[in-house]
Amino acid sequence: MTMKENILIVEDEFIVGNDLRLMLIKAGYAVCGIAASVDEAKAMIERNKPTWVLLDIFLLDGSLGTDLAGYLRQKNIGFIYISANTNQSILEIARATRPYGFLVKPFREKDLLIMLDIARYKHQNNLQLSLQREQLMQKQLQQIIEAPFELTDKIARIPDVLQTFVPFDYLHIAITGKKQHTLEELSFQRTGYDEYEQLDNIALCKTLGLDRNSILSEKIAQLQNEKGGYLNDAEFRLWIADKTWEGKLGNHLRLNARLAVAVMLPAGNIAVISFYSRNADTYTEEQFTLLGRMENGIRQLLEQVQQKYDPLSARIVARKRVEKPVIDNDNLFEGIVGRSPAFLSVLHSINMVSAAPSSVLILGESGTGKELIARCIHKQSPRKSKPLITVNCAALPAELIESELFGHEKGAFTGATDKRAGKFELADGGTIFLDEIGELPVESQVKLLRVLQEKEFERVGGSKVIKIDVRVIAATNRNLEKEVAEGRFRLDLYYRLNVFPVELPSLRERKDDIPLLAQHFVDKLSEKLSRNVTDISPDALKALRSYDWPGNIREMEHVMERSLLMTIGTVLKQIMLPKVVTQQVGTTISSSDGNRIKTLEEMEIEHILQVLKSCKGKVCGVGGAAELLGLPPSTLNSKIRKLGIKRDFHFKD
Amino acid sequence: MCLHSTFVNAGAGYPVYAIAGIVLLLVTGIVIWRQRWRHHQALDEIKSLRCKLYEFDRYLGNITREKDWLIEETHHRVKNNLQMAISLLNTQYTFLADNEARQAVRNTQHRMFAISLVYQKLYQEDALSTIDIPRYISELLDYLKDEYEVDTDIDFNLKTVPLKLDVTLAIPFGLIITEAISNIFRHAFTGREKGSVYISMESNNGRHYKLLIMDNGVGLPVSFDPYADTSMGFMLMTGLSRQVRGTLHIYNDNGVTVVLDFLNDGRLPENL
Repeated sequence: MTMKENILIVEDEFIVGNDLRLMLIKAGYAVCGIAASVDEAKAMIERNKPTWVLLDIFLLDGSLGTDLAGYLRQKNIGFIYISANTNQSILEIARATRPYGFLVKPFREKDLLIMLDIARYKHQNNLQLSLQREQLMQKQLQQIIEAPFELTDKIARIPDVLQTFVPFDYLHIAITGKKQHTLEELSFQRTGYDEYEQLDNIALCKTLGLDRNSILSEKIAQLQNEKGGYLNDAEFRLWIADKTWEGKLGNHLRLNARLAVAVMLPAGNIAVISFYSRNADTYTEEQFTLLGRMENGIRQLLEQVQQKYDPLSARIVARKRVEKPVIDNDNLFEGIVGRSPAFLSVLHSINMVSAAPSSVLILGESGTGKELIARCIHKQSPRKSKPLITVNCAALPAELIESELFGHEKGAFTGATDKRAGKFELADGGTIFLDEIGELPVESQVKLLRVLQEKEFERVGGSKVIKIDVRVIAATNRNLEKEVAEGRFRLDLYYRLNVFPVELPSLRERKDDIPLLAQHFVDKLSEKLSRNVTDISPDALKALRSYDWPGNIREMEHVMERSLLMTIGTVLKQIMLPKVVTQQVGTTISSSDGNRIKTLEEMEIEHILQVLKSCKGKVCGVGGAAELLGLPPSTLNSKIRKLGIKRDFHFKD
Repeated sequence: MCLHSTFVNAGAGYPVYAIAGIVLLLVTGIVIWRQRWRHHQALDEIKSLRCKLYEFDRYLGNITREKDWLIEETHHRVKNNLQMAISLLNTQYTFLADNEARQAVRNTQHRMFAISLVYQKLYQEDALSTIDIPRYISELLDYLKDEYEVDTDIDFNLKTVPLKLDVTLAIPFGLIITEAISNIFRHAFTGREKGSVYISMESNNGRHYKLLIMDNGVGLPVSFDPYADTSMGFMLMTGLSRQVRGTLHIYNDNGVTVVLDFLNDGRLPENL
């Protein structure tokens, strides 16, 4: 232990709290107290300044450990939950507060110490990432400040630098003018991964149906009162409710969150940078803190902007699109296509994590391109010259998975005629990509956890400890919290893997990318299939957009390939989409809960319900549900009973 | 009288038919009307019954949810109390200097853990009262391997048929396994470099099950009678086997072999 951690225990059962204290002291930690309630905990935190908090969720006085989470996060104190309750809803509530770990009661000394190790690793990792982020931002700001560019060029580069650290769809910089009652404003709207359009403020006001002069005083007053901070979702909507300009802007650009920082400029002027995002939960404490630390750089930059700002030249810039910076993106994100906001934020986060050594957990439905993302992270990392080894945990039988991952000695089991190196050894120095990690058998999960924690393992049937240096990227389309709640996935491994989660949006959630993807596939597949198709007809695009893509991009590629094969000429006109049965029955399957995969049983229930509805509740006879479903009425009836379908709807004519 | 006869006469016979016809019409009308009315009533009744049925259904649904919640809550409390008991033992352990006493506390901790693991598994299964035994055994084994860090390189071989046991059976069952495995760690391979343990559970009819725990270690001392209640572990094993309506055999066969035959027909011991 490099630094002695000081731990506060929040636990209302003295015996349990005391037991924790003894265990921690034995392991070399310092314990600064045991609090029995949230209030008591807060007092102790103020007094004793712990570096870690072990937090029981249900406390006797009715307070919840989760209520303390925001407070701890603000103070940058790491915390681990301890609870006997591990059902999915509790795990989800806990996750929302972003703890560093979760310990299940009854726990053992070993469990506690492993979880603490994991938590400290994660915390360390986060600190490293944020430090790295800080240095990078500092450097980039400095580059702009010192660059011998024209001011217009400098301004054009601002959004790109900021985007990497604080994502936005719309950026607004306002500086009170040198003269009283004047205001200088810069507005940027994001149009692509690193493309921004600088908006002309007067024109923007017009679009919003406002007269700039009449709202100017309100704007200036607001600027002077700006304290900085962030607002997400409902809070944001409440905030814009009584604001003229922001209200209109928010509706116009469909914005859902805002983060703002205020900077004092030398001559008593105030500058406010406001970030707006369409994504409702974009902004975090960390981003706000980061910008706070960057205050100096931002001030210098804005000073330059303010001093040399000439409204005339700005207007000229506004007319032309902000130039694309020099980074070659095609190379950076090879094979990755998309510029919808949901997708762009993913690209930014992988850009961020690539350079760090931390493990990454990629979450997303099947077919969303998890492997491509893993490849991309590896390629952008310092390990890019070393191998990237992919293991599909779902494709291996449970008995073979350990020998596949860790290798085996000669004669370790029947059929092990030779000594063999495992995937981890092959990946030494590089990256291992564990696809479908949710399918890894529980027994192998312990071993994986050991590799992650200790960076060592033994071959199957061997006793020699092998040391390795491997970065782990894992991916799954399962809801790991549900897997944990149902005992199929280890909680400690889940927390260890979940250091840096990357959530890939489904194709449904990024339909704006469909034209781009379609063109990409046409170009790629035309070449592969030696066709000379170059374009897609508007009707075909419409068809592509109207489909729900349950199989995501992989399905789209297959559909495009089939369609291309059927195309004569240079324009793709007809898309060979799979026939959707539900469309005929009437209402479509509700996809309200987004990216969750429905179980077969749920599908069955929905399908039966829909058919019943379309038959107005008639089960047997001609035109009855049983006939339509191709089942004997008795079978259908028993199915209805078994699936618990309540016929509590009235079928009106 | 006079009027009446006139009327009858004037009718020249056929008013009788008219009256009969009217009466018939009336009767049919009444019958039809009554039928319709009854039908209507029946429909109303069906509707109200259906309403009641839905209400009842909802009520039942609420009760079930409430019951599930209560069971979850109970389990939550059980686990909390188990944690407290385990914590007490942990604390006691740190205040003990005597080795035998320490070992006794350790053994009790292992037994407590075997019980708490049942509750942990219980919660994770779909049904709120049964345990998936193969998974339970493998986790219990992992735990005990972790607890006894022995120098011997022991190779464990686990082979089980699928089996779900009710919580009332799973706890004694788990304790029997805990004792058998603990014995192996403590005594079976003293002074040996390598050893292997075979654990299996078989059933040829889905009612009678046979649990076998076999090691190739040093075996029981010749003079030792496992059924004589001289060791707490063996006493627990024999007693608990009776509790699960099973029979236990412990004998030397190139090491120690423990065989538990038991019946699992879905009935619980107290319902026999």
